[in-house]
Amino acid sequence: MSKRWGESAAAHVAVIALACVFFLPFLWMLGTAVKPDNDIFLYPPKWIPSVWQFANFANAWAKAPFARFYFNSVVVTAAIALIQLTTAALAAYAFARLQFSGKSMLFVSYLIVMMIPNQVTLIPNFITLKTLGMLNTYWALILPFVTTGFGTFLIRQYFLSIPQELFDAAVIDGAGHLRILWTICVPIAGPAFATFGLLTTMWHWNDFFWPLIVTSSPQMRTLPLGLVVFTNSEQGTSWNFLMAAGIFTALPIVLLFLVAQRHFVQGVARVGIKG
Amino acid sequence: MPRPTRALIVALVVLVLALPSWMAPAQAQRNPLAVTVWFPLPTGGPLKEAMDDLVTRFNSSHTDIRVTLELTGDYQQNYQKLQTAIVAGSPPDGAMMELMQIPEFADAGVLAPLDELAKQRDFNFADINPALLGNSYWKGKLYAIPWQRSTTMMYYNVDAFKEAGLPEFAPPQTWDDFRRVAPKLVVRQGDQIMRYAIEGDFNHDWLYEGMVYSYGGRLVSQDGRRALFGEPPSVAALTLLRDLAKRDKVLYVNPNFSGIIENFIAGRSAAIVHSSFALSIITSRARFRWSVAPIPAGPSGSVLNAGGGNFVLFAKTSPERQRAAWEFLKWMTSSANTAFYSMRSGYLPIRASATEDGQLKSHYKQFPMAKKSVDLSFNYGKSRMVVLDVEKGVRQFLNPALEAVLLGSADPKQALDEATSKANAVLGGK
Amino acid sequence: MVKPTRRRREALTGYAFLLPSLIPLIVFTLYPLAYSGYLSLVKWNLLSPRKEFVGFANYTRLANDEALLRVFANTALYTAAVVSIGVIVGLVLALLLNRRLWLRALWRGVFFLPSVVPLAVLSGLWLWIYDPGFGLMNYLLRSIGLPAGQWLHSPTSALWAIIVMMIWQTAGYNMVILLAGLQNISEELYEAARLDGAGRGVILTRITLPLLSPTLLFITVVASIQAFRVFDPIWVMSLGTGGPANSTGTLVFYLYRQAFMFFEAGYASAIAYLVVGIALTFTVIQLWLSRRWVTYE
Repeated sequence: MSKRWGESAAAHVAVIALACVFFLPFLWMLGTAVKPDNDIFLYPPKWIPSVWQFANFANAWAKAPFARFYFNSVVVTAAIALIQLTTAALAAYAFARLQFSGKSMLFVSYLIVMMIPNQVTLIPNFITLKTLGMLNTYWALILPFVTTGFGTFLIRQYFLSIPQELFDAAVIDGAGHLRILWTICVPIAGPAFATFGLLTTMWHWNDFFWPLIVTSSPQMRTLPLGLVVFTNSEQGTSWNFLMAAGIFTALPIVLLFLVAQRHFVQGVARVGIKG
Repeated sequence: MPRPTRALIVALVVLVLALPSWMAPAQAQRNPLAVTVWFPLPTGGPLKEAMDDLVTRFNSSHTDIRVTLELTGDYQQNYQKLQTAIVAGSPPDGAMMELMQIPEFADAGVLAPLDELAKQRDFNFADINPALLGNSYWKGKLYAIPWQRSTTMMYYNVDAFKEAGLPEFAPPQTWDDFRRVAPKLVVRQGDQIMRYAIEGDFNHDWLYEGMVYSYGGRLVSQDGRRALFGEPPSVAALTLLRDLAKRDKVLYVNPNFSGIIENFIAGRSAAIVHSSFALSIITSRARFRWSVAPIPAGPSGSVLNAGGGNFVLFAKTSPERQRAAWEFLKWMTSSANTAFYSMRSGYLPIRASATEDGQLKSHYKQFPMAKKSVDLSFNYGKSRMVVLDVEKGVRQFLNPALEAVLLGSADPKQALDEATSKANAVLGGK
Repeated sequence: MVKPTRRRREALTGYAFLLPSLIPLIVFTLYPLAYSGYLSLVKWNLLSPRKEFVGFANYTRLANDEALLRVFANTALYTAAVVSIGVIVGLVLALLLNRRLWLRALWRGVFFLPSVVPLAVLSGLWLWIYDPGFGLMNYLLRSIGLPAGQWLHSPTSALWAIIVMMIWQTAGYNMVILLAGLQNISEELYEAARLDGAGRGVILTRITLPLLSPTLLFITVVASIQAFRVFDPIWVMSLGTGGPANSTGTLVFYLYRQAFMFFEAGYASAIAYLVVGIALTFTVIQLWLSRRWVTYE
């Protein structure tokens, strides 16, 4: 018993120590968000603002149509995440549990999605969307991302670990593949879905370059395009506003993380392993 | 799956399917004539507000034309967006571009030549500051009108000079003078230097070109086919910089453009070499007496290199739209309007007559430094190099060489010779 | 049961399941890739419609390009360091945070936070941390008597500075994926092993790691691919230069420069093929080797 206590204490100490190291930069970020301009780059570094400028948040928000950017970001990332989860689950099931010719080659081509540099797809996809008349619409922000190599791969790994007995039992019960996918695979792969959902939301939430290229009006722009209000290499960056804006940009993802990580709870015992 | 989650998923799916109806409204404008212009400006702040102002006023006073202003990131992002649009066959009608980006577009024929339009009397071409026109030509033709311009200059901390026992408003005029007094300006604490005498990003070709000019040399030949940064003037300039930074330890070569301003404001550098554009930030945040001056002179005098962005019109457009875009450009660069933009943005007015503008004059009364910096730009300003393949042929080799010498430990002559031969292989081989 | 029909039905189901993602894959990924292959055989400056056919000249140029060798070395170093250290740190964090802990969600959040905050903000943060004059890193070093460093300002330390920042950024995200993988391992197994008297080391090596191996494979493959094609952090931390003195430029950075700054779309496409080719080969090797160490149930 005492061994367990010692272990637990050691783990706690290690975690807290590491967390402090990891968090240190953010401590400065939080402080900077509410500092007046001249406090930011003092040396030695000033952790506590001389004046607490909480108004920085409101002022940062007012500098660009952030409400609209927020709305667009939510719509676009939610759509991308949902569509990707669907297509990736279907594809992962096919790769993990079905036999068909050309499977390996097809799987590899999905992986290529992850490998191809953005610069290669930039102009062709821009022209494709222009031809389809979809520039400066939500579709332009969503369609190129429907297929996810990362998601397909991750969920496939998960599906591969589901014991064959569960499938055999379902087949005997007369279940078709879609039903097996929905009733067996998806619930067990909850952590994978939660993880992927979280990560892809995060990535597309923070995507800057593609939205810059395909949108032309402020009504269609997303949050990262708003952040550049504060960064101007010639004019000098308003670091405090940038940090403040960074905080209200990151907040929804942090909340999403807290919700998603409840799926990272061990022990939902896997039915049918040992008898 | 629990009920609420299911409901949420259904709701989101419905939202997704309803997306087509969320598409942005089409902006079909038959009457008035629609013109789109791209500006690489931040999506909020004084620059955007000033441009919005100008565009709104133009649109209300010209009811047959409707200009839409599109903000396109920074200079490099704007550049890439333009390239993408050109390949796709849909460039805007006009755009502002960074000076060095213009030759490539001009040479490819995607820009509209402006000579005929600029000759018209109502444009008053002669009024434009000649130092700002240097980077507007390509192969003898005019392709751009200056818009958002700045030059380098030296800002110095008057209080720090006083503290060091130096004359207050008479900073060193030559590099030799500077070298002599610099050690007095340096403040140390142990082996950490708390205040440098001078700071600047001399590792970048903008500042470095000014140095080479002041040593009587140039970075590339007039025709842009030969690299000259291995020539004696350049080697001398680089050696001076290297000595100031590494031997005398009075110069801080800082690649971080905005960090330099912060260091000046915090008193960590007694002087900095930076863009005239930094004036507005320093004015609002410095808590000590300061002033502007020409960069110390080399053997050939002081040179304040010009920089910034010019406005271009694209060739691929209808004649009516091009004429309309020119109307906008002409109106925008009128004396009153360039004065207005200069006042609001801190960039230089592009016309000599603008300095007579009433509003600008009272602005100068309130901010005498602004007037001083404009005078400096007129007196010491010099255009930048004009060369096709500036990235591939010059920056690719020159800048790493400067970095290797000033931030590493390379030898100036060796590094520059190597860079020159590589550059010539690209520039001359046409 | 008639086997042939069942097999055919299964194959049809397979293709049907792939269809929703296969069509966009072809349109938005494979078509650009193929187009890029065509471009790699021409010389084109993007701006004019003229494309000059040059055959394999772009590829032979790859072999003789000194700058390419340099960026390749940088990329290899970057990938090896970020992946190996990042995955190990992520694994340690996942193992630590898989147990019952006070305020566990908070700690997990702290480690994950670096992945969440947009790069535009993070880069500002780390540009400050690394500032040789007034940054946090040198301040901490000086206060404990160690010499200050030049970090991003010196050709010898700049790439490592970026590597450290990226390990900080990706460790939490690796942790999250590994945590998901750990949930797959039933508590019963641990109990049974403990009852049998197994120590922590044995549990780790005989139960946890093998059962975690599918996820470990995944995270190694993915982290390698992402590190190999890194661009944005290099761009912002080197202020668009790939320097100082070309010390931080990576393959994709070099590709970007060739395409959009040097106007060599053909050569850039050849580089793109090199990148995809290497990433693909490396991935296929990893997947093939995985048969030896990955345990699926």
